[in-house]
Amino acid sequence: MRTLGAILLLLMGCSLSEQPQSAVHSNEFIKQADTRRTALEYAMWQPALPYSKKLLNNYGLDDSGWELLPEVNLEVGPFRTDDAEHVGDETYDWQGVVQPSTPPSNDAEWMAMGESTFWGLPMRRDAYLRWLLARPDLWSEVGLDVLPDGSVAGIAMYRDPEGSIKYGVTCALCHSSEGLAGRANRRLNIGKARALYAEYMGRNGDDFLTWGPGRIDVTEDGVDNPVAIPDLWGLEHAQFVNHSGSIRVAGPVTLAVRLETQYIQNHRMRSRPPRAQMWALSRYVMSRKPPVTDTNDLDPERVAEGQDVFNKHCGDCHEKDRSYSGGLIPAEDLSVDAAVALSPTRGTGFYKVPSLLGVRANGPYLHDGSLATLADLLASGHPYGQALDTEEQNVLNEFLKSL
Amino acid sequence: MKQSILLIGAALALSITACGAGTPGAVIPSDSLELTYVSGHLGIYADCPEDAYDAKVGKGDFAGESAGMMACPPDDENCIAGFMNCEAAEVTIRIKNIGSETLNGINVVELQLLSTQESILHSMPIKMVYVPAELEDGLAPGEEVVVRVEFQGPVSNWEMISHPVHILVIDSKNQGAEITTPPLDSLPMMVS
Repeated sequence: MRTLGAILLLLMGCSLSEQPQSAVHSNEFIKQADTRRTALEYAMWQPALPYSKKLLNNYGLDDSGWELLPEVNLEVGPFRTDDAEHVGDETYDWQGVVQPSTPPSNDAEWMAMGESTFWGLPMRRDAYLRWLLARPDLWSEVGLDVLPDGSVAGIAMYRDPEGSIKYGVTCALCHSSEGLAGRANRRLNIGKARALYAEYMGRNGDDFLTWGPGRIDVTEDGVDNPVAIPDLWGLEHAQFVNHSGSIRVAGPVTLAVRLETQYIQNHRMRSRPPRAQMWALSRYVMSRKPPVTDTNDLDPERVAEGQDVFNKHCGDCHEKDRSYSGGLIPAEDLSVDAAVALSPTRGTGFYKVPSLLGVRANGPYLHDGSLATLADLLASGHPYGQALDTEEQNVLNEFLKSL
Repeated sequence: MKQSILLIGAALALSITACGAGTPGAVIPSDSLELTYVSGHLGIYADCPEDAYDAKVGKGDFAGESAGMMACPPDDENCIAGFMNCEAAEVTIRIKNIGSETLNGINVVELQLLSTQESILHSMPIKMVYVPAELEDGLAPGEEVVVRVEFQGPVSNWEMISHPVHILVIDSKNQGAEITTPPLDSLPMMVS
């Protein structure tokens, strides 16, 4: 039965990629626990991983676990610079907005809901956030973006179910830059923020300083192995998410499940978000595409030569029809640090083949952001790039810049 | 949604669990109480290991008055001295009256940490039980409530440590029901 479900899910994923406006599939995610469970089991393709087991033990079950959590549609609002002086003031007369949570009737409305969820829904609490937000002088140092309307990108205020004002992190904190949704914030220095807070609390937070801007350690495995915050380009065709590919995706259903379970865990497993918002968010992040690449500085002939090199040496893994992304590569086949791929919590033994859309502006490169430029990557970080001679690397570099 | 809650403090819970080394006397199996697991985690004590349960300290009792005081998130206004990565363990269950008479005095009286083979490792100190205010009037036939139990979780550095938790709930007639959760994990510092 589960196998049949997985096949159906794959079919849904394929059809949804082509017809994402299908109301049928949104309803299946929103209303049917069986669909969510099937999607979860498909996504957790290595069920023995601790990360997988936790979700499999709790999500999409018939009559227990997270299915019984109350749906809470939070009163939310942007955090503006003026709000900084009121952080921690329980008498602050703040009013947010309860976002719509009923399924929209057309595709444009779904995308609008997804966009507002991306920017406005607190997906995560963060322990030091209240302290940091009360100190605007630190915001630039840790890479917080203040948008032209005075709001801090990726920070939301909300009223928790007990009625208290809280501060949360939205998708946009990590996955937007200068107002562009989908672009990783490579100036964001979460490690620095945590270290500063640790110092304030009289603790030693030096370990966090190894993360550096644009990198976060998410593996919870006792090993210092931060990874680069990824851009969201090409998710529409992605087969896996997370650098180690610990989550397999097939269209918006699996991604919506991944987003919902992320939210639940980050809200202490006390509530779940409105599922229409999760579906909308899934659709929205899957739709992200990089800005059109400026190719005026590129030589068309060399780009064409580079494309030939790409087709011959790279295209089997970075599939053109999948936004130049692909499946998984055994970590041992790559000349990179394998710590994330081997993490006992989420390591699969593999690294996913990332999308190359907009790759020119996506550096630093590799899962750990260890190489600054494409030329560095081809010369010393990518075993298949290293196998090319210098001229091949140069023209390939030219082609990659055109994507 | 603002939810009124009754807080049954650690002192009360402990006074009950203290009887018979954490086991209330002669509990009669209840035909009316139905328990269902909702959610739970083992907390996070990475930055306050002194607040976590340590079987070697205090012979399994609270480590001291401060236990649980620091294991709270700094974004909680009730958190007195919270540091990041310090949150108490908790488990949430649904309690339903499937009998024909109103049940009174419903309380969570025992919470045990189990091994993955479901043998008892430790009886865990209960910190707080959060129940809806309507339970004050008893649980009528067919009614159900969701109850959250905060307890002192085990020291753990990362999420690979998973343990089921066994919970005993009784009513005023000392009739009880029990439930074993799926393996619970410590709360990750950052879920992505």
